Amino acid sequence: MFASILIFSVLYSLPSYSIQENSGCINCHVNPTGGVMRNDYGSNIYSFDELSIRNWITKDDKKFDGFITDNIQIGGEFRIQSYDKEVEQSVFPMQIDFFANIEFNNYSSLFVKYGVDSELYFLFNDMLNIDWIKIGKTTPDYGLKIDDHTSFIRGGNSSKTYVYSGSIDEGLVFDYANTYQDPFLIQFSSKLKRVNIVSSLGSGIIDNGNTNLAINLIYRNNLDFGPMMFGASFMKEEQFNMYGVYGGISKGKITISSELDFANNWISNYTSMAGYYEFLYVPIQGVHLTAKYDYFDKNFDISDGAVERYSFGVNFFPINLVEIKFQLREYNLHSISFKPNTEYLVQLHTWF
Amino acid sequence: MKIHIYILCLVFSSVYSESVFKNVTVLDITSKSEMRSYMKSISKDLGVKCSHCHDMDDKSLDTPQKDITREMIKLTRYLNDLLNSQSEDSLQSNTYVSCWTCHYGQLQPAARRPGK
Repeated sequence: MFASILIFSVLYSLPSYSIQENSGCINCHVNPTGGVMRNDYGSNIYSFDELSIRNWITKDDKKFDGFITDNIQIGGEFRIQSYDKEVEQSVFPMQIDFFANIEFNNYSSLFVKYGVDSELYFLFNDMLNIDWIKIGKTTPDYGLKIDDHTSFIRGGNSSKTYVYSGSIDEGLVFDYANTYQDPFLIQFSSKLKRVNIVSSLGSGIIDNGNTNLAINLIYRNNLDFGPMMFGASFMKEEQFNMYGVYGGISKGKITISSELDFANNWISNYTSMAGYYEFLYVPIQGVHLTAKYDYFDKNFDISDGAVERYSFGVNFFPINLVEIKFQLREYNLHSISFKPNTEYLVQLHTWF
Repeated sequence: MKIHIYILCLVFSSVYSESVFKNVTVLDITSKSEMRSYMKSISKDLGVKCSHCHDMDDKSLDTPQKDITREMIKLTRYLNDLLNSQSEDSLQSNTYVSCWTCHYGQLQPAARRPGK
């Protein structure tokens, strides 16, 4: 039996919910580009009334929603995960974060997160014909901000599966478990009809001494068919650059989302490719069935190795503010004579 | 050191914080918790989600549904004021009519009684 203690602090929101609701991350989260702390609607409406099978807290005055006053909110988010790969098992705390958000007025606020990674930024709204400006230590906006940091479009497995074991040759730059740290940046958001444009300029995420530029375009619309979202992202830092497209559609109980990225000079001087596809089915409120496909190829050449991962899971929200995830993950390696064991994960997640 | 800076920021900001609702034209509610309770009651009375009336990216924006709701709020307020003025205890302000009175959890209130 193998036990380890690993805490990965930076976890994100759920783009599938954003597609279903036909709204941006700002609908539920304090951070307009998504992640951790929920705002009033996310805490008190979505988390309480629209996510769980049943409400164990039904009266508004009985619950603690983190609002100390109308303007000051505190919160926390915790995940513990059990991981079983037949030959090795572990149980580890995955996320322990505390955060606070203070609204000075309608136009400015301060967000602070304290955990393994810290985050601190000022947010200014509706200024100079710009939707918002964020200044501080936070994450550049790129692609789908999914809550699974092991997806190859973020950072891949912390132990780097086995294709290129021990190296960084798996997953993209948002490798929260190993190298990634939020940079200091200034980030702007503006809207051009239905297209939301978020751009940032800040210190490097590969090398702190560099300058990092990131641009993210998001188009949303509610079609006759149902809500849809389409986006394109670009990031550049010295010789490294990365670009990708992503999107999703939702119809009734089904939501499909995907992302495809290409990174130049991330792994040596190769062009690497990462793909993510997710199918979400919600048969009843509180039960989410997921099927995911992840793909990564470090040099766009399948003949010298690439990794595919199939994940099937159930996200179960038995009561308010509690999520239990069950997931089975199967790997397929190309051009490598090694068959990894199936992984079984159970994650307990709670927040306020 | 970092935690001291965070605490300083919290203390400083809590002293200088204020909140005003944007684009609230009919309601005279000032606290967020009271506004949330009121909005939740409307949503339950009409059997709709928040997105029925609100632009979820900016909930303060005007929408056609919001305009209708504002008129409906004025209607219930007028009826309640009228009934309260006819009450024996003129100092007491009771809610005689709410969204539920007609909507009964449905977006479209029933115009006829259900058939047998």
